Formats: sequence, C-alpha cells, structure tokens
Amino acid sequence: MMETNTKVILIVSIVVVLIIAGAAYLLYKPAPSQAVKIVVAARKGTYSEGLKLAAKEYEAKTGIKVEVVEFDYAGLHEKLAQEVVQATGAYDVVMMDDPWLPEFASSGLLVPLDSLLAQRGGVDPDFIGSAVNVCRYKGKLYAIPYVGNVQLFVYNKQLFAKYGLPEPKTWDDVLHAAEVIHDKEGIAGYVFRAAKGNPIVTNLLPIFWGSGVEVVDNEGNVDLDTPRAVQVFNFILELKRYAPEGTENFNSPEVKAALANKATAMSIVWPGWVPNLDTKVWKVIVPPGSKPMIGAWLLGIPKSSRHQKEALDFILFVTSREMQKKLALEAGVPPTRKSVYQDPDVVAKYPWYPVQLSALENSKMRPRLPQWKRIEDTLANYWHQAFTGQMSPEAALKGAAQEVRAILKGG
Amino acid sequence: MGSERWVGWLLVAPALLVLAFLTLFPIVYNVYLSFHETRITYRRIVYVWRGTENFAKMIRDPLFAAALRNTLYFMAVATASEVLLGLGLALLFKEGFRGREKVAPIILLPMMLPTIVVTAFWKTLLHPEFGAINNILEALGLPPVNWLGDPRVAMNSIVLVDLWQWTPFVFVFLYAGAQTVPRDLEAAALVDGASRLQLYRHIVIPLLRPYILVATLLRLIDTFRLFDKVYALTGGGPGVATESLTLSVYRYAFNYHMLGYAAALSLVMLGILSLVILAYLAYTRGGGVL
Repeated sequence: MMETNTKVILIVSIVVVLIIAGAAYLLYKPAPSQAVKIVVAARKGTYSEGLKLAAKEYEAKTGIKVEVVEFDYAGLHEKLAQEVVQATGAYDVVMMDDPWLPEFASSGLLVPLDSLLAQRGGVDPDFIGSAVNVCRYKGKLYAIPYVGNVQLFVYNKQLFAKYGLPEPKTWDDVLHAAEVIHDKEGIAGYVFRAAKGNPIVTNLLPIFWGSGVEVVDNEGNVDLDTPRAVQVFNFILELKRYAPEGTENFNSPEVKAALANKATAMSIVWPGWVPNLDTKVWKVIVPPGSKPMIGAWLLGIPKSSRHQKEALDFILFVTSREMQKKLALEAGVPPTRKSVYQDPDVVAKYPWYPVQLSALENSKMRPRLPQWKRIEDTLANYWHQAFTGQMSPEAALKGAAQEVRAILKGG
Repeated sequence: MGSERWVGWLLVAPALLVLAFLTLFPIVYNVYLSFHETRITYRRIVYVWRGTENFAKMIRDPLFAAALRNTLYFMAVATASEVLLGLGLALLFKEGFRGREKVAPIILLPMMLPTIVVTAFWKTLLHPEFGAINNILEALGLPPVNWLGDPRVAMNSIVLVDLWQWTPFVFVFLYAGAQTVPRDLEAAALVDGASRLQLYRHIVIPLLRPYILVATLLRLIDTFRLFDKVYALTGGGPGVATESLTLSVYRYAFNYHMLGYAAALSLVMLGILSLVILAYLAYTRGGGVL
C-alpha cells in the first residue's frame, strides 16, 4: 500500500512538470535572428559551387548572409515536393530543373514573379528567350533562368578525319560513323547515357524528336505506340550495338570517363562537361537531327520563404550580367544571357560558346506538364526494358503509351 | 487498491501517449490514406474517398508485380545464403584454426560500413569495363559479365553485395550462440564415439536452432526492406529487373505525391511480411528443418 503522502507528492510533481512544460511551450518564441539569412536549396555540383561563389560576393556587398544547401538530383526534387505540403519556410530560393517548373508552379509552391519584377523593370531582354520561356507556366513567370543548359553533341574529329567521315547532321550519319569507327578502331562508336530514370529519357528523346515523334506534347497527345516510334526504337537498338558494354547503366560520370579516355567517338553532352574535354580531339556541335533539348536550371522563390524580397534581390544578383560572366569564367556555370555568350573574355576561354548560344536559341522544351516527373519515370521503365532486351520495342512502347495516357487522365 | 492502480496508469500514461503517437497514429493514418486519393496543393492535402480502388489498381500495376517478385526473390535467396554461409563460418571459428583472432575483425569489417560506402565500393568493382571483378575474369580467360546491366544477372549482383555486407552479422550472432553449447556435452558425445559430423548434426546444430531462427527472422525482415542498395546501384533497372517494393512506395509517395496508393502498397507490404514471418514460425515450431 502506497503511503498517502507519497501519492500526493507524486501527483503534485507530475502536475507541476506538465504545467511547466505547457507554459514553456506556449511562451517559447524563437529568438529573433540578428540578421536576415537567405537559404538556397541547390543541386550539388558545378551549379551549387557557382551559387556559393555568388553568395560570398553578395554577402560582401550587402551584409546579408547566404547559405547554399546542396542535394543530389532526386534529393532536391524530393525536398521541394515536401515543401509544397509542409511549407516549413526552410528555403528562400530554390533551384529547379526546367521540367519541374509546371509541377511546382501548379501546386502553388512558387511565388509568381511578374508583378515583383515589374517594379524592377521587368525581365531583362538580354536573357535568352528560350531560357525565359521555361520559367513560365500558363503565361506567368515563376523563376529566373540561372544555368543555360542545353544538349550539345561531341565527336572525335581526329577519328572522323582519319576515316573521311562527314560531320554528323542526322542520326543516320551518327549510326554510319559509329559503325565505321567501331569496326576499324575497336572502340565504341557512340555512348548512351542510359541509366534508368531521367538519364535514359533525356538521352533517347532527341532521337525520337529527330524522326518527328513527339512522344508526348504539351497538350498531352501521346504518339508513342505508332509504327514510326517502333522504327525509331529499332534504330536506337542498332546504334546500341556500337555502344560500350554497360551503357544501359551509364550516368554522367561514366559518359564523362568514356569521353576522357577516348573510349567512344561520339556522345550527346551537357555544357558543364565540355570544359574538361581535350579540344584537340573533340569538336562540339549542335546535336544532329532535331532542335536541341533545353535543360536549364532555374531559381524561384517558395511562398513559404520569410525573406522573399531579399531572395529576389539575391536571384537578380546571381543572374546579373557581371555575376554570370564571373561564374562562367571561374566556376564554369553556363550563362543564360546573350551578352555573356558574346563577351570576348568568355569566348576566349570557351570557344564553343557561339555553338552553345545557337543551340539555346533554337532549343526545344520537354512537355510542360505537371505530371512530367511521373511520365518520365514511366517512359524510363518501359524504354529501359526494351533497351536491355527484356521487352520488344513494340510491347514497351505500347505499355508506355497506355500508362502515360492513364496518368494524363488522372490515373 | 483501486487508487493504486490509478496511480500506476498515471505513471505509465506519458510512455503510452508517446507510444500511441509514434506507432498507433502512423498505422491508423496509413490505413485511412490507403482508402483515399490525395490531392496536394500548397499547405493542403485534400483526401478524396476511393474505397478499395488503390488496392484494385495494384493488381493492374505491372511495376508492383515486378517489385513483389523481385523483393521475394531477394528475400529468399539473400537470407538463405547469408544464414548458410554465416553458420558455416561460425562452425569453422568454433572448431578453431591458427590466426583466428586476426581473421575475425576482417570478416566483421563490411558490416560496420555504411551501405552508401558499400554500394560505391561495389559499383566500382562491378563496372563492366574497368571493374576489378571483370579484370580478374579476363585474366582467367573467362568472358566478362555485365553485372548490373544484364537483367538476368543484376538482382544476383545485389544479392552478392548484401551477402558481403550482412553475412558477418549472421556469423557473429551464431558464433556467440555456439559458445553456449556445453563443452561436457560435446566431450561426452566424442567419448561415446560420435564423429565430428555426427557431433555437429545431432548436438551443436540442434542446440543452435533458436539462434538460427532469430538470425533468419532478422535477415528476412531486413532483406524485405531492400531499398538503399537498389537505389544506389541500379535505380531499379535494368528495366524493372531490380525494382523493389520499398523503392516503389518511395517513388509513388515522394516523387509522384500519390500518398494514397503508396499507403495501400505499404499496407500490403506489411501483410506480406507478417504472413512470411508467421508461416516461418509455424513451420519451425512444427519441427520443420531449419
């Protein structure tokens, strides 16, 4: 039997602890921070390094501290997706791959920028039109283009000269050259970046586009299960015969290694990879067959940010002419302004920039659909099965088309 | 007496509340979600009642079928191999050999490494052109294997990585168990003329049964949750050859915001795991051979 006194003490103690805890919770207010700090969620790599460099300059100029938080590609998308629901306000600036913009604009995460920018003179016409277009969704502007990424194509000019091959203008030219070099040199003629997910889709899509197959258009029309699309896939499998072993698992590091080791003669590349290539060996051109795919990286402001004004100020600082030039020269970040592509200092360092500017100006966007991430993964599932021989191209394209249509209907 | 019980409840109440919040609430919410479709907009989730539609969708979902098949395969093959290998190693160490103390820490090393390090290390080893394993095969005059790119081989490569990382755990666990086998029992059997094989078959392994049971259960549960190795090594590819249930749940929930369908998938996962464990326990309690 417990003593009555002990019981009373126990109950009183519990009640007191609960009252103190409750009061502490109700009265607690986070200490007001000494100064505004801008937190940027960014994709890890060259682009986040560029942001860090800009952050230092911005801090020196304004006294506002900028912290760059880095994520890998999938991790960044996941963080932004979580921020839609949780609205933690953890980030003031978010970096996005351009196909994500419709998803995050339609879910209401991003602050529309038109009226905010109107007070500051609107969008600078120096920005390349196609790079600004990917920042819009249903006519409204939700971001400012930070990285002028666009697909380019490289070929080994020494080997092409050795075998008298012309510069590839079509995908048939690519196949022919791949076959010749593969047979005569004993190396891969062409390398696919075909790991499952975003890589295989961004790598194969231009080949479909080059043959007039849209796959999915902005209105949600799907033309994947057509004889023409099957023909294109059979062409891809033919080209794969001249690709290196394991190409179905290659992502950027493997493709970069294949180019650096001259283990292949041709590849689609992204601008960030080009500075490391030996210009005596590799020639950079606009990809053959179709309009090049734009893959710009954008900076937007989440509604949950508590420092939206400062965030916009930082974005405009990063994407200013002076900073873009500095970031291009010092960090290798591809610019989004025409004047920077034409700047003599920049062109002296990156002689392929006129080609890149022309590719950007004529580039093509992936479909502007909020469900694009899911559609991309669905395409990847089926295409990868056909690419690795687990499914015939007919069955894979039919399966993909059915699923994509179901997704677009809200399934 | 009654009031004492009241005080007892009061004392455990905080713990019960925490438990309810951490365990019960997520399960109930998960069940609720699985019968709904979620529409996510800024700061808001709208729940639309969908009845059993999410479960019906699963039957038509080819990705789910592939993920289920792959997960069960991985669970069976990885667990069986790890337990057999771990048991073999434990018995070898129990027998004793020269330098045993020096070898043990090396065997335990893989288990202490974070999975992300393990996968990065194996991705290099398994590279089709520059990987050490194919280089060795080549030196031996054997054809190279596309370890992570060939759909017939990829899942087995992931089993291999899991085997490397987790066999040491089974080994340590069973080796600890083997220390509890009474020495005099072994001595008596040997005096009675039992061979080493008979000693292990009739005395040591039967006494190790409870340890083997627990090790198997732990490995079954862990292998069923296959995620990180697939995520880092193949992303579920080639095609859908290494797609796993947890990877599908992750994709539907965090990439496509389909929380209802992801919840239904995870409920089915819970059901399958419970069935496998109950079946295994019933089988072993019924005197089945381990």
